[in-house]
Amino acid sequence: MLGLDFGFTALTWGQAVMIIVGGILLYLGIARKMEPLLLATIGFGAILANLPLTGIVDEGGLLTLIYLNLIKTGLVPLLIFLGIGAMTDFGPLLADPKTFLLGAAAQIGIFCAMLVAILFKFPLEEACTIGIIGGADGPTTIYTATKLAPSIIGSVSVAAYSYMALVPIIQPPIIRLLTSKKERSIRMESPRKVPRLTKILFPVLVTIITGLLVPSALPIIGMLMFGNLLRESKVTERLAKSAANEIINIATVFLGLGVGYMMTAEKFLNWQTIAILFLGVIAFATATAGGTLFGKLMCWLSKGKINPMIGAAGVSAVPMASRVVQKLATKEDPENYLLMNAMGPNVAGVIGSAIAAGVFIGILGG
Amino acid sequence: MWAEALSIAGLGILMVFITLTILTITAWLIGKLSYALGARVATEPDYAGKAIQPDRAKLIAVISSAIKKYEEEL
Repeated sequence: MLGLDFGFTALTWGQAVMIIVGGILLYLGIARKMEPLLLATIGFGAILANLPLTGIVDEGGLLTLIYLNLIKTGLVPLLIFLGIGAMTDFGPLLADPKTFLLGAAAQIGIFCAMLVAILFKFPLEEACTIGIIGGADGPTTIYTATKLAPSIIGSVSVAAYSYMALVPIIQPPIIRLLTSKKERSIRMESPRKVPRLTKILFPVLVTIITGLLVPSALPIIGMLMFGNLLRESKVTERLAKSAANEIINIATVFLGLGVGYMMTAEKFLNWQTIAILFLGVIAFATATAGGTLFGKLMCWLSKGKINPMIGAAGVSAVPMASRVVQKLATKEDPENYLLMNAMGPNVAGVIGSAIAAGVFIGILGG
Repeated sequence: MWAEALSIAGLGILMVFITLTILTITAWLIGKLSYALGARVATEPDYAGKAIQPDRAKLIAVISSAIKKYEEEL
């Protein structure tokens, strides 16, 4: 009519389905408060990307520009790490450094899911990216996807953030299955306070050591630790506040919209997405099991001083996984406070999953 | 492909454990070093006021004597 095209005449079934998917993500984020910052943004991005004739995902379109310049380059996920670093207190981990190992054990889920993905005939690069979902770390998953498998960035992001929000549902049955009531009731000493000097030296040394051991993990770890140094130095408060508020908020908006760009019907509606959603559960479940079983080993070695449940917090969904541990502990003994003990492996998991991603990128990233 | 996948998984697990073990030792060492250098735990301001609350009795005595002095002057 008068040369004006109406969108609904050009709307395909696939686009209609994706608009509904976007609506579901909005519902989960807004009404159910599941990872609202990301799921609401990704959901809206998915709706934007699937409205026909808008040109928004064409060459030079808004979402295309956001994706190509901010997501594909890896810039936005790394800025998010800067903010995470500025918000993270590594104190509980530094108070009890051996809990670092629980953060390592929970990364077993990454490698299990990667091998199962190979069984599903995914190419190696995509299998590794899917495995990283088990790290329960959205920005790491997206960063790895940008480097190894950009074509599945939409599905792995949705899987990672959805399952992170579902940690309180996925983890408890696995923890209960692998631990006895007696083990779940073990009380632990509260972590001691850590001197400021330790907290300042930690990010600097972690950056140097990781940079020398796994150079390809340095962009993630470097930004995480830089953000943390800004926080702990106590003399760069303005920068730390900006990283923890303005920078991470702006980055989150662009991350959500950029992932939405990858959620067009032709890129998202395929058997791969369903397989990735299934593999995401495997990744989370095996990560939880790996952490819990290693927790049992440490419990045995420490002659019952470590509650094995804190191993499950080694998946890095911070602080959700720690809250799950606390909730289970309170169920067995209403006066058992494990939250701060669980925060140690929880933040170690962030470092662990970044190192696993670095290994994958280093070997396959070319 | 399987051989490559298994070797990447094996190397990955190994690198995660090696790196985090080194970081465990590092964290333990910098903890010891900080204490050796005389670093103390920073006391956060106590917003309930307990840490900075002066001795109530002393405070009341000072205020009472100031009031008494003022009354005498009047």
